[in-house]
Amino acid sequence: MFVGLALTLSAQAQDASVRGLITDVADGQPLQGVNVALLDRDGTLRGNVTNDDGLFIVVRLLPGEYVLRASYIGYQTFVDTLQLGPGASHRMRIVMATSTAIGDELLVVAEREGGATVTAGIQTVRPRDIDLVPTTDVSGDLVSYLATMPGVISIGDRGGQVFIRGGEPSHNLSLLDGMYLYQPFHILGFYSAFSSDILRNADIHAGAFSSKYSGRMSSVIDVHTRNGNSQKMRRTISLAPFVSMGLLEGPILKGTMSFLFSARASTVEQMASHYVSQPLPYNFGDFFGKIHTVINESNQFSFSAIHTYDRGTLGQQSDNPDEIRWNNTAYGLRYLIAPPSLPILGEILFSVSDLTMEQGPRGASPPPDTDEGDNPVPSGFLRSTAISGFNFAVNVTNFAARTQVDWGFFLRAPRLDAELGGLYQNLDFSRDRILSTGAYMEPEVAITEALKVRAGLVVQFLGDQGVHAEPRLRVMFEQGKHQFSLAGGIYRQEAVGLNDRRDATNIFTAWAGSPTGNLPNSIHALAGYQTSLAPWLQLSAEAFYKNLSNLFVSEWTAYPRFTTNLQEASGRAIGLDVRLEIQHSQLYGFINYGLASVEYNAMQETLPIWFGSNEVRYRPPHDRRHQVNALVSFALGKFDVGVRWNIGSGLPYSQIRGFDGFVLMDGPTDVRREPGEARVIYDQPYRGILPAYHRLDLTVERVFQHGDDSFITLQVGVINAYNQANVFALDIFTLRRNDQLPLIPTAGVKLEF
Amino acid sequence: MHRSLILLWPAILALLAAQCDQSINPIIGEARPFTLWGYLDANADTQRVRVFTIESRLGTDRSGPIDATVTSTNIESGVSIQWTGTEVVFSDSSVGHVFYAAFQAKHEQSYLLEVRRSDGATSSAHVTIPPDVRVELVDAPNRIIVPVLIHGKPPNLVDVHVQYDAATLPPANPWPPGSPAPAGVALPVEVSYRGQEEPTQDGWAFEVDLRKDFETVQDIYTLNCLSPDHIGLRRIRFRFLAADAQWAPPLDSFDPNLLIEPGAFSNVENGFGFFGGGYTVSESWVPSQVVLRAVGYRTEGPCPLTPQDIPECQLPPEPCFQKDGG
Repeated sequence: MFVGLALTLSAQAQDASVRGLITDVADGQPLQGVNVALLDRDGTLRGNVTNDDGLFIVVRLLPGEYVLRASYIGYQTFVDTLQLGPGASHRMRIVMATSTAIGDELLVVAEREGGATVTAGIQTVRPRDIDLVPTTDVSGDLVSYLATMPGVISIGDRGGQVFIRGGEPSHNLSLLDGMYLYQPFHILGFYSAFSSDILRNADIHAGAFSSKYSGRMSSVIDVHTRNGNSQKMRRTISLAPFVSMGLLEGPILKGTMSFLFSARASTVEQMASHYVSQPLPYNFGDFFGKIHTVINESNQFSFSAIHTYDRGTLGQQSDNPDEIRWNNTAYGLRYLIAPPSLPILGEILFSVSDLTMEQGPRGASPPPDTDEGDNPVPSGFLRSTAISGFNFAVNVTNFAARTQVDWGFFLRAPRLDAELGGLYQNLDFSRDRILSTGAYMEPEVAITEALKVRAGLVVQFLGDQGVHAEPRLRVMFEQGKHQFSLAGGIYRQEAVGLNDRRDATNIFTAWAGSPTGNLPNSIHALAGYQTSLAPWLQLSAEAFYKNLSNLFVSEWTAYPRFTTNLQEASGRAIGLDVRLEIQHSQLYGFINYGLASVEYNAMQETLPIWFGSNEVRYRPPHDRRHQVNALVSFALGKFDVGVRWNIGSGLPYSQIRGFDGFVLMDGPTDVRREPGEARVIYDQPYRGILPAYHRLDLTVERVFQHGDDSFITLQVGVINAYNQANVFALDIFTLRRNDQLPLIPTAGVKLEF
Repeated sequence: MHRSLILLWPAILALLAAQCDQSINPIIGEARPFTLWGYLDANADTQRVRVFTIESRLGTDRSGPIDATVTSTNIESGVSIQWTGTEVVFSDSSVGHVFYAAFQAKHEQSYLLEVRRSDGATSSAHVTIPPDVRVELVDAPNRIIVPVLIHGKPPNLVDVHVQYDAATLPPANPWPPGSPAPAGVALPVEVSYRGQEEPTQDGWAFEVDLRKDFETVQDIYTLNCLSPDHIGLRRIRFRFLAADAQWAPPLDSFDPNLLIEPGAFSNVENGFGFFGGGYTVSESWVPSQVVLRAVGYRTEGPCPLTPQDIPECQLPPEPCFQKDGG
């Protein structure tokens, strides 16, 4: 932080600077990635690109005359001449219009740039990328796109559990405009809180993420919503058999202040379940609102709020199976500042987030107080857990001639509650408050034109856990059309999500402090390469390694029941993601291949007795070794066709040798009177492999334009086109099998006016 | 580039993948035919063993005939006995198969128990009955710390405990005067002495500490909402199972969470479970009034201290809940 301030002050001197905001003339949206170049009389070129918020800053300019050019593919280039005096801080607001001289092909490229760009674990996803993935809805959803990424594993098409490069769902940090969302994925796997209708972009950090992020040990999904249209009122309505949506946006003060409100509600119980051959007992939805204002070229302010709800039954093990429900609520403020007197861009975030989750039979009540804490949770009662708290963060970027320094500080204080009415993963009742405060700094130094290095450090104070330092490193090297990247770091998790992965239908996650006091942590390393094999063909490949420590997994027990005790484990994930992307005329497509190996190493008191060693190495149930995703999108006359095919090798599960009975022989046991207990004779854990998963989805869409800015989009499609019986969960005690969604025809309409 | 090829390959791949086998076989089967639980009891004239078949479904109805023949053979004499099978309905309504045979297992002799399926698959266990022992209590009625000497050396001592036949002994003159005396409540307490033996020249020695154990008795009474200040003691019983060499659990613990793991505590060949050999040994004494008072037990009250069947002095404790949720 002090270095940052020193850089700030040293940069003031007599140098001039130019900063500003660039927006789209049509709707007032900030334009990201606009190239801003300043040319002086000597022909010296200086410049920068706009950030996610459309802001740019060029510093260390000598006094004199400059020609400023702001260029962006698909937009008319903006040119202006500036006269900068000593110490001048010139502020600009640039409004760019689309160019009619540039063809559709280039527009497509501009909108999708970065689709295949995976730089040191980061992939930026835009709404246009998301909308290419065939889904059950006319609008896209980020989770559908995530499912096409090679290192992302989902257990099934329901449950809302996403594993990124070996990390558990609770190891992912999900942010929406800086707000924490603890369970952002809806119960039906096609949907999340991140509808493409409200998105500006999403940065997916699959690993080795930068110092700006802390508190999670696997990955980051940093989602930014777009602003409402600041020029005119717009309405969007979509109707589909799974989800229907309404969106309203418009100016509050034209050109300055806008609002956006969207609401989505599932219609799957009312509509889709009538023509699908299995019950779809799911009810979910979300509400999102945002108010944004551009105070001036240097200051922006926004307020966002979101509420999501989910309810459903995943397993069918009994006549009255457990229902799971959860709600996310979050609201937050974001203030962007580019002070005229300082070469910095900063943001101040304050948000409050809350997740409540309950599981139990429908209509169940919380468990009564009991003094039998060592027993498993009694059936018929409700388990509940909650995590809530505030997040305050200041993130600043200092600009200097060849360096850029990101720094900031944060304060978080999540409260974790779990009321489980009996033993669930070593937990009965818990209440924790975790104080996490710290600061980070990450300078980026351009050592040469081709080589950039970012070395960062996060220092956090975690209450009783003391002070922890987490170094991070990113190296990027670009030579012609070849780009190489390396990244790594140490990551630590302050709150632990405890669950029972042996049962795929049990997604209940109890949030608590670490049961042993040892914080889960990980070490990441990755190496990436990308290139253009042809103007229309891009290739990227990234190898990754994650070392995971202080994990908590379910213990092995021969009692035929779930949700018992925890055992400590460590693990590692290693893999290679390869992506080949085609952009050719009206054709777009990619094929992703993910090769991964996740291995856990469990330590449990009984392991020496059972397996003859102190530890057992096994593949956890999310270890999908091979995964291929292929997507093709093309225009067929006036129709847009999207085809997606996904195949993943089978997931591990534990096989059973048989069932017998156990009688405790701890004395002169009378076998005529002691009934004993049922027992499972397991094989070694997770030695069995489920069948491969594969599915073909297909959509055809046509957009009808009415007038200048009214559109009707009609979509028909089919999910799981060849009706593949993909297993979702198998109850190994009853042999009851739950399959994923069968063939589902879908149709939808979307009105934008 | 041939667009048709690009468009076709997902469909071709999908068709190929659709041919993949989607069957799942989570039950891979177990070659070992039986799980056995029980022991040869040198004190009993009838021996019993519980026999489980290994099933492929949880909750299989185990009623009906079982495909098993049980025989035992005295290794020394060569005498074989075929056991008789019975179907037992337990208190939880489950059904199990218990085989029995009328004979007395002899000390220091070995037996082979075989459980054979009709296809010949056999589970078996070798058992050697431990030697006979004699228990000597050294001046037990008059000591607070009572030496207990075990003459003879069985390989293992299992379930060693001291049972205190204690009961609440309400005051003889209850307050307020004239009110009826509350009933006595009998709540025997067992204190484990597992692992506290010391080897001697011809066996083992224990020291039963009445004063220390009285704290445990008081704790148990408090947990059951009974006054820890009005406890009387009628008798003390020292008891253990003299067990064979194989009756030794891993990690020296009878923790069911540990022992339930298949193979964790088993002497059954080609099968699961445990079939041991042993017999129960028990010695009792009644401490003197002086010792009882010195330890902290009450010696006066409407209920007699000597073991007598007076119903109002032997009521079982009623369930209670601690206010602090303990």
